[in-house]
Amino acid sequence: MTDDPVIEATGLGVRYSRRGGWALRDCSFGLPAHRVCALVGPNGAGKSTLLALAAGLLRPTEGAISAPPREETAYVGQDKPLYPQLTVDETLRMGRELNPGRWDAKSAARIVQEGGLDGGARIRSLSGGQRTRVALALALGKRPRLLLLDEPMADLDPLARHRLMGALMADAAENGTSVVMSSHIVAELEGACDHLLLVDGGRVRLSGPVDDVVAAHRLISGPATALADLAPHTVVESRTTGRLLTALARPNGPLDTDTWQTAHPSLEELLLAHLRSPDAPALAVGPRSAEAVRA
Amino acid sequence: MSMLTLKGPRWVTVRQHRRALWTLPAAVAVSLAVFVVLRRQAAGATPRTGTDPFRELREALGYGGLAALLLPLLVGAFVAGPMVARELESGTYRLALTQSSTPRAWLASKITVAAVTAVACAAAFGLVHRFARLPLTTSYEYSWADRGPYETLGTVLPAYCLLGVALGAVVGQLVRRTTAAMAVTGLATGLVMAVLGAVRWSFLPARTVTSPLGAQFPYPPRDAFTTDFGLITSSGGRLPEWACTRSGSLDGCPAELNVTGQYVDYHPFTHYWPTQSIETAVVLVLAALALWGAFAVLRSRHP
Amino acid sequence: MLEYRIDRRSGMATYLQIVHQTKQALRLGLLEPGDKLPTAREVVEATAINPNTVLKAYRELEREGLVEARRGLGTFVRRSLGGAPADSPLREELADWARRASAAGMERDDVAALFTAVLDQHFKGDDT
Repeated sequence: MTDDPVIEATGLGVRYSRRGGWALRDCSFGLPAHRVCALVGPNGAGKSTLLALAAGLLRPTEGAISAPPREETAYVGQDKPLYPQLTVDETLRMGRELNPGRWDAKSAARIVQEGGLDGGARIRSLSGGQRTRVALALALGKRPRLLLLDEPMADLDPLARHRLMGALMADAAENGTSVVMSSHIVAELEGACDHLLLVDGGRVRLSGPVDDVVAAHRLISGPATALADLAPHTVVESRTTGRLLTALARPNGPLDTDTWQTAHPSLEELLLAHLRSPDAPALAVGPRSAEAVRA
Repeated sequence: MSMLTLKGPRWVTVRQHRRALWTLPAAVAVSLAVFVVLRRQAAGATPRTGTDPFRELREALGYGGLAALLLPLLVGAFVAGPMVARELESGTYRLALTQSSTPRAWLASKITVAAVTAVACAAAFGLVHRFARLPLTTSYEYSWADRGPYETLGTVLPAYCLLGVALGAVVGQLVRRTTAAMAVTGLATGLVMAVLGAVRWSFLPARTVTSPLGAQFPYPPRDAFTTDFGLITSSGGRLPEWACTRSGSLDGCPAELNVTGQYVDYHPFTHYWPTQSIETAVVLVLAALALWGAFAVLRSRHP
Repeated sequence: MLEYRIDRRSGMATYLQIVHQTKQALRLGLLEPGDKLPTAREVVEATAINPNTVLKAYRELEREGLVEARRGLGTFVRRSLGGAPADSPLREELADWARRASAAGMERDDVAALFTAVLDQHFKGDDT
């Protein structure tokens, strides 16, 4: 296993029209290979733009992004684009025709069969969840090194969500596929993802292994009068209720445990705190090798 | 023949549009059936004086020829709308352009499939017309130079089909709205056809026959296509043929007009193929330019 | 075959849940030396958790000497834990005790609290 970044972006910026605002700006990050990365952020944050860039569907207005070539990258758009007039079987045949020499018919067929789909059914007659399944079968049948999923679970019921996430994770386990999936629902991705990229307002706010990013933060509570004590630390968000101060901070050294009560935040608490404080400084936890994480 | 084997993107294109693609051969087959029936009717009819047993066949050929003129417009609109713009409009291009095959192959497969089908059907339609007009002994109401027969019987119809396909490929990418792209492509293709149709008889110099004033109007050769006729003055100038009668006298021309004779400009049938060749070449050059444009647009958007 | 149940809201790290449940199975004798643990693929397919989490849990178990990874074959149990397989006399006695507690009108939570208190008293500092 190598942990060379599978995607590397430097100074990435995208503007859709010359006079319009920037959909993405100054994005620099690296995503290590063989990870399942959660691309989170509110609606309109630039998640879809970022995925389209990685898929080679868009050219950056400025900066550069490096990702595997099109043969090794699979992409499933937010609306699960498929040809409505084709049948399920024909759609899989299309995967074979358009990916000669790579197509894994067995895996693709299995994903479709597990959904109890009729091969002769036309795509236009399928439900949202069934379409997602076919789109995912098409993407995994390509045996990609990098799998890009834009809001993959948005229109699925909880059971279908669990099953499809299971199928995805199984593929990642078996083939070491690097996965990047976007969502604005954090709970959907918790547990499945081990790497985090928080995008907000077209900028990368947090990036790094989930465990390391969480470990870098503390939920702090203590007397409001001691606010000045927090100066050496990076305070993401702080609130004062009466005489009580609660804050989410990145400690830059030991915290006085006599004054402060500390706890580890959950991933969701961490993300919400950042989204509520758009001016909090960004954090990129450097890509460490997988071996170092394991040790 | 690897261009024609149904593999990869071409298989996908044919699968997506197989119904629409079948309508063209079906239309050719229907036209063939109609003409076979009309020819039989004409051959079986008892000739009566003053009637033309081939009247219906002539009319059908006339309408068929005019219908054939719509083919490049329809084919172009189809490439622009359902084939290209709809993919961009509905977002399915993101599916097609993230497979292993390249964006070039994606666009090329659409162009190839549409072009092969359209050219084959246009050529087949031309053959059907040639077969249908065999019993016609005169060009009455059906001249080789008329709009319709001129294009259908020659090489320009397939060429215009190629132009329609190429224009569709570039317009579909630029307009990105299915119906709008169809309309723009149809109009653009029709405009080129109208302009070239207006100037095609200027490609080659017309021939002229003259006769002295008072004699009968000169006759161009049989099967010739008359483009102009009128009066010649002593200085060699030309006047419209009604110039004499307008002055009021019915016998003889007023002397001040100095009319010395009459002329007829015409294109002999031997001009048919050279004119076809020149027009075909012009259309193919335009089609090649549009094709280059289509791939240039694609390249600029999708590396 | 062992099936892991992952509780996302338990607050316990996912990999630790796998470690705990494996040890639990070892203690109860549901897993014995030589038995094969489910592959990472099987676990993540059923639980939809990250494969690296499973690998991390298995490495932890391997580090503790409980299992060993055999290349290309899978992960196998090396030794069992504790001396109380599912059908041991100790389990019988505990079951008997639980029946008596129930007969004495104790609630489930009362029993759990009592059991934990006794556990803490006898097994200090050994929380795995």
